[in-house]
Amino acid sequence: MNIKGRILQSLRPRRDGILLRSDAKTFGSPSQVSAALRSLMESGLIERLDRGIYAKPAKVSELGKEVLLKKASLKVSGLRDQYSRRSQQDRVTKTASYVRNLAKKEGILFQPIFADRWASSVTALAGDDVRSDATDDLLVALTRSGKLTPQEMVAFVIRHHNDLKRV
Amino acid sequence: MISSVFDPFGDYESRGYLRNTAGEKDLKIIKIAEHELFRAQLPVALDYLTQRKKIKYPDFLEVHRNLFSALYPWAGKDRNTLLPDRAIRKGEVFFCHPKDCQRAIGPGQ
Repeated sequence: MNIKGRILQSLRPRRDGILLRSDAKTFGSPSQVSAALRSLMESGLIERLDRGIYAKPAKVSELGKEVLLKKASLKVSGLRDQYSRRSQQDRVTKTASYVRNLAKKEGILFQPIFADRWASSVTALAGDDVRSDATDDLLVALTRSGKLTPQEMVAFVIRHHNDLKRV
Repeated sequence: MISSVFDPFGDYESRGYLRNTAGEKDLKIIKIAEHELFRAQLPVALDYLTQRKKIKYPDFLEVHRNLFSALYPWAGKDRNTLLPDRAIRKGEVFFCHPKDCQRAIGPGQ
């Protein structure tokens, strides 16, 4: 699936109908994501509300631009709070530091997509209780963006959680 | 002594849980690795499926390979080839017999 398809797939299940630019960050390079967003706007499949804020046109007609912008602003501040809370909670292992530096160097941030909720439901249905930490999230984001192979990701996840047993 | 660990290969002690790539035995860590791999690879598996006009048995195997082969090198192999003589269960869940795997997928095709 191309970047436009991924963006639409990510937007489709969102009840609020809002897509932040950061939601699409892991789908490609910044210029590729910009081009895909522009093309989707030109096709009328998404509407730009403000810098970095897009929405389903049907939602814009239904609720209006102002309401959606307010919701988007709450969403952005919620994400910031969540990120800072989790960063504080995340215990630093050697692997965690390495992964954080790698993500910084590559310009990768973790932004949840449909696959995260899907995986949580499947894992819960399998009777397992897994809580990912910020290092796991970054490793997933690095893999989705092609900066790590799945094999490398698995090795880092296992090393990180073995490290955590010792700190 | 009968092991309580799910161990269809019968070599958990020497090769870790289900012959995973790291030889890891800690089930808590294995579950985390499975979960992270699943969410990282789910878009890849869905990309693969969207390119299929009809989903057939080999596609089920390929999706399994896409999702889990980085942790389990045997992922995506037909159980009738991998463990043809083992009828297995995990807790109270009985898995279909290796000889029935392909037939079990049939009605969904």
